[in-house]
Amino acid sequence: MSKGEVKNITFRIKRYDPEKGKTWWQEYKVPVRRGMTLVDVYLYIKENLDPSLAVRYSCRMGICGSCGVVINGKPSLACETQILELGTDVVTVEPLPNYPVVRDLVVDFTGFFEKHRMVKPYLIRRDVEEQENPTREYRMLPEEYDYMVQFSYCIKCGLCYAACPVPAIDSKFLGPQALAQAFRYMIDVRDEGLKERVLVVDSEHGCWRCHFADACSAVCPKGIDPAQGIQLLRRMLISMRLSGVKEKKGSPVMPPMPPETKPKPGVKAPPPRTVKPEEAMKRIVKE
Amino acid sequence: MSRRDKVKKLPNKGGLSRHLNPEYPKTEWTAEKWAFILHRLTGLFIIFYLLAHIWVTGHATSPESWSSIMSTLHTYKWLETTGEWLLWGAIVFHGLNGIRLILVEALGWGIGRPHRPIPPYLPYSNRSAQRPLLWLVVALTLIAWIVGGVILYQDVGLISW
Repeated sequence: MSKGEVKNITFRIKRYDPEKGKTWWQEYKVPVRRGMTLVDVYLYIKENLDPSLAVRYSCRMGICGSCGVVINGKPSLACETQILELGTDVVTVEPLPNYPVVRDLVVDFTGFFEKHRMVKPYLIRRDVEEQENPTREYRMLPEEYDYMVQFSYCIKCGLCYAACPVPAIDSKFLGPQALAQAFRYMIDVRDEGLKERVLVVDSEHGCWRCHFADACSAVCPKGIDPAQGIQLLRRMLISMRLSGVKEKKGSPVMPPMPPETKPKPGVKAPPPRTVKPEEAMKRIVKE
Repeated sequence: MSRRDKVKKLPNKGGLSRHLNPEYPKTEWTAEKWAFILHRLTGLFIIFYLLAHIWVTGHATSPESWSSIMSTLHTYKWLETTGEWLLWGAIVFHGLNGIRLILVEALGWGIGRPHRPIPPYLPYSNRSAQRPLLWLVVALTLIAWIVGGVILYQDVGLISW
């Protein structure tokens, strides 16, 4: 398809009116150009066809995580879904399952965020004074960072919780997002809150409720692997029970920098600067 | 009570009932999700069979009553054999998949190691060793199920070479 070409695509959107308590499917015919995302389609519908459609989006570039909907049966971000890449003439859009629907495509995330808060998603340290008024950073090796960094990319869009089959059975299930966040802090070498998080995670509605359907990892728009995190979390809890380990010592604060560095004997000094820093600053200000 | 809580919200449950509803488009299911559903269904089938089995055999208090129960069952030979065949398939799948789940869920085997995500963001747990292991479980189940079916139906005389 060339750049300017337009294709007429039917959007089948599931709607809900809270005042009347009525749900129905509504169809909109939208001319779609190459590069148009579902958020662009929302705006077209609201401007030209039906201003009453309730949608939620914010950053339109996959950072804020507020535009998650089910597109053609798959939980996805509306802003990252190019309509022509779907390759269908009818595109079905519905609100995320496992969340109460407020109106049309807007769902209520209160419970989801509540579960996220339950696993204490922040660094817990015993040296509170150092944490509040830091002298230097806590020590962390690059490989330790690489092991944990994946889970900290979570944008809380809630797609994993919508794809998971378990909340239909157990609505109090913490869900892939919260469990992956718990794992992220439990493997963080700087963290000392292992005991607090085990209490939440090692429970009836915690990680033992996961049945490894692996749907959460398949839909994550950020490449996070919550299913992997939950399985490794379980392995961690089992080995903790077997070995009797209950606490974790966080990594220490880095030692202070040496006051001045001396050049090694025999190493040549660098050539003098061609542009002095003050002059460079003046040039930048001028421009 | 805040204004937000006054809104009448629609409970929108996911899960099997939603997916069986023809109103919704078919969700892209991972192989592991199918395995989970099948594991649960076979587990329920086995547990209900076990309860029924204990209930039936518990009624046999003498050799005469035992033989009378057996003769009642044997009147529907075809149905009985089919039930046994389904049970055999359920047990084989549930057992083999159970071994796979122990490896994955308790030992963290076959799901890769956490790493820095690289586009196009294909998660490790979807394509590492546990997925081929699932196909192995399915293949072994099918082979055992077919062989078991041949032996069972041959015994009854419903099929013969």
